Amino acid sequence: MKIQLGVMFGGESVEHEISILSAMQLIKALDKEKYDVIPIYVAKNKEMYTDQSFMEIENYKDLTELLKDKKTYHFLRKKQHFYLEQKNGLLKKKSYRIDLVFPMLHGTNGEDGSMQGYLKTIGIPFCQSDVCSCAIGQDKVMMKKLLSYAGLPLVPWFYTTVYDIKNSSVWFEKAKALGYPLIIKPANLGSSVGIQVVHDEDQLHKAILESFQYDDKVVIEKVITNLREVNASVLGDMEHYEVSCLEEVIKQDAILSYEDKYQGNGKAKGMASASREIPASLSEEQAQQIQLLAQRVAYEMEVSGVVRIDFLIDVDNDCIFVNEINTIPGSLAFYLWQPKGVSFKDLLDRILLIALKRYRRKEKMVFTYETNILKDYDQRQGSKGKG
Amino acid sequence: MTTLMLFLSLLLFVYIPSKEAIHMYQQNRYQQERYLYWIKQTVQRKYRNIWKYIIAFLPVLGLLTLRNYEGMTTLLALLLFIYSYLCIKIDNNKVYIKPLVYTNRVQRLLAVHYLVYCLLFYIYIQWTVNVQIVCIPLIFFLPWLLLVPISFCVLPIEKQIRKYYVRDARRILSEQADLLKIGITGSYGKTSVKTILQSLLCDEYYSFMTPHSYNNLMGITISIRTLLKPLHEIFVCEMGADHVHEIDELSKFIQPQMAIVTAIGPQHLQTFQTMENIVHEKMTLVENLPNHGIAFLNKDDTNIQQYPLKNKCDIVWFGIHEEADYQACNIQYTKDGTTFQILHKGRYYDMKTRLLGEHNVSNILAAVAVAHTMKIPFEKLTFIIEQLPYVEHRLQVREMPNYTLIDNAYNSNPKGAYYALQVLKQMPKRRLLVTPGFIDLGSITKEEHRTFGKQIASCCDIVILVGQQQTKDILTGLHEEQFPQQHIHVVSTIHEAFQLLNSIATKEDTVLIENDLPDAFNH
Repeated sequence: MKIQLGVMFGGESVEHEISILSAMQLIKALDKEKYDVIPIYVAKNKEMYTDQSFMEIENYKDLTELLKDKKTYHFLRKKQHFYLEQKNGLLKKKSYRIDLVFPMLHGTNGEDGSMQGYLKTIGIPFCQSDVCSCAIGQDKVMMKKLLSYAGLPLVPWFYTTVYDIKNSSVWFEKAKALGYPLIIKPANLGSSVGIQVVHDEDQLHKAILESFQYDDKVVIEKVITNLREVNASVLGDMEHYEVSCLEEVIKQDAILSYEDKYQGNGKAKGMASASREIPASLSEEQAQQIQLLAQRVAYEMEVSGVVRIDFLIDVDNDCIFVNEINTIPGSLAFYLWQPKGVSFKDLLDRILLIALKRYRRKEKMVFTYETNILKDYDQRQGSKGKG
Repeated sequence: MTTLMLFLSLLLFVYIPSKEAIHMYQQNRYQQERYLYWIKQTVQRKYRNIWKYIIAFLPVLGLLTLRNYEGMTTLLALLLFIYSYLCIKIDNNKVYIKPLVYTNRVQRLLAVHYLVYCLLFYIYIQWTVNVQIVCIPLIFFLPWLLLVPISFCVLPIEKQIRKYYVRDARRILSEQADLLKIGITGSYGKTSVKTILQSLLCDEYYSFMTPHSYNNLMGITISIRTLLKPLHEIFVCEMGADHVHEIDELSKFIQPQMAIVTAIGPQHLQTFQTMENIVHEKMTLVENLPNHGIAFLNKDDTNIQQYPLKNKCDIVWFGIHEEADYQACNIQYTKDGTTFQILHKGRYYDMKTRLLGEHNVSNILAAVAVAHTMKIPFEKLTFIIEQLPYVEHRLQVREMPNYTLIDNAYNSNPKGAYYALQVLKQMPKRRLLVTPGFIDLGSITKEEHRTFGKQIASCCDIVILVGQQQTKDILTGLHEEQFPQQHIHVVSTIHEAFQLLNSIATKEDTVLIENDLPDAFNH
């Protein structure tokens, strides 16, 4: 029997479209001999849909047309099986058995552990990292706290929350300690949305306030003026992590804006065609250092499946910093694995195996039954003693 | 109005007897012969208690003296209502070792019972009140008798339902063509081998085992239908047999590619008649293997070793006392567990486990043979074996407030009991034993009990026997070995035994619980 794999994409996130692109690539690459693919489109209103028409990228040009007359679905558990079942309908409720879910979702409500938590609550096994890693990976503040606890190199930083607005003078003190220019990032948004560079207190104040539109928490980092951006992908789980080929992202502006990152040169299909150099031209020593750091970050974050970890190199001081982690990277960073001889198809196979391994390990832990014949007996003895 | 009251009281009145009858029918595995045999035994044993029932029914029969008093029907209804209330009250306070499980089947049975009651009571209420009163004691025992014809009548329906379930399970299995199926049978050790094998496999494979002791056709069917997932790669299936052709039926149903036969003994001899039948039955699992199949067999068991197999599958032997493909040696017991070595292809591998007893070494060996054949390296196996948890109720060491308990409560047998005694023997300080003896050994029960009694004498300091009738032959054995009478206690229930333990055991004592029985056999 083929494994029925549900691929979830879209989602209530600014990266909705990117997610669709990544999912289409994924579905195309999957080994159809082993898996039956059930596309699960999560619309911007969080409703789930499934249909063969969701497999064609062309259909997404007009979303209203696409969702016209489409039925909404939800997950159900019946005995040992999981189903994606039509929500409404009297006689003929369509339903599909789902054995495994691949959440190909980016950003909020997809990559931040919430969807993982939903799947976990129902009990469906799913690919990629578990709830906790996803949640921390998506929250820049939590991630930086964890990584600095682990002693990993981070660009000098501090954070603030919306509740600190009243004593904004603290911001200026901390900012002064770091030194301008600074970069302001909302804690929870993926990609480069809402990111600004500031040069003085005035700009800083304005930028932080603006960032609170996106999130209650904001990260403030020192800008590395002469920097190189290098990304590495890591595949595996806590038993073993393997690092991919490294890439260098060629910067076009002070920071890579949303347009740069995803809409790039017009004919973009996901991350794969952003302006980049693979493999990154680094010294042997530097490449090795980054690969080692990537492994450590993956381990500290307890990720599983494939992730992409972004690094910054301060060229002037020859320092490497961990910048951020993507627990569900665009295109699953397959383009970083191909040079190592791992095709997208093989990469997916390995991700699925890792997912199954985690699932059966978790299941095993619930597999102990507690007896209580004798325990009950003791209790009755106790109550008798009292009476 | 009063007739309606009487009618309803009657329905309430038969509730507890019906429930008890169905409960015992369930414990006798819904088999009519076993149920009837059990009733026969119980009547023979308890007929002396009949006066209790006579006294209980005196108030009702006393109504007869009132002579056609108008309110007699009302009084009768009221009395029946009080009886029902008392019965329910008593039943609520009863503690069953294995309570009635309200399966769909039991619900159906209860429903049919009540249909018949309605019919019968409709006729009953037409009778004169005197006849009604005289019939009351009969009605009290009616459910026990009615169960036989009723269960006989619904049998075809039950069979159809079961057939449907089995067909459905077969369909699920045929859809999962890649599933590797491993069948485990034997007279004892099945559940242990299954659980250990599952632990060894589940790190490398997504393996599924039949839960608890589900090992007959319906148990396996329900496991497949409700627990087997399409993602599973291995199905470890325990197969039990208490009548001829059961293993044959099961192995044709599951069609395993690998088979394990643990050890063969006189279990369920009562239904199998001869030892040859038992051996042949277990070995059909091996004979039904495909040509590329692999059988894992216990070399220590002469029954298995000497059995002339008719098919040509690969055979992997495991054993302790005989030379085998996987052989255990240098076995040593300490209070923390067992250490031993496994000899395979000229190399020794050290093993350590908290499980106690020689049979557990044999069980581990069987599981290791399978897992190693499936390419799981020894280093990994050693690691997992060291972490193996106790198998529930099987020589499981538990720290109790007043003593250390070795719990060997689950469905025991003479051989297992012997191993348990050997372990108990090596424990420091006072050694206590609580046991109700064995069941289902048929004609050899008496002899096995006497031998057991003799073995106990050399291994324990204090013996608590549960059930006077059941354990009288153990007592004989103990007496033959001059075991001091003041160290023997006979109690009637397992709960009494525990009460006694709490008063006599001290912190340094070790208590072995050997075989605790379902209610049906607890006498």
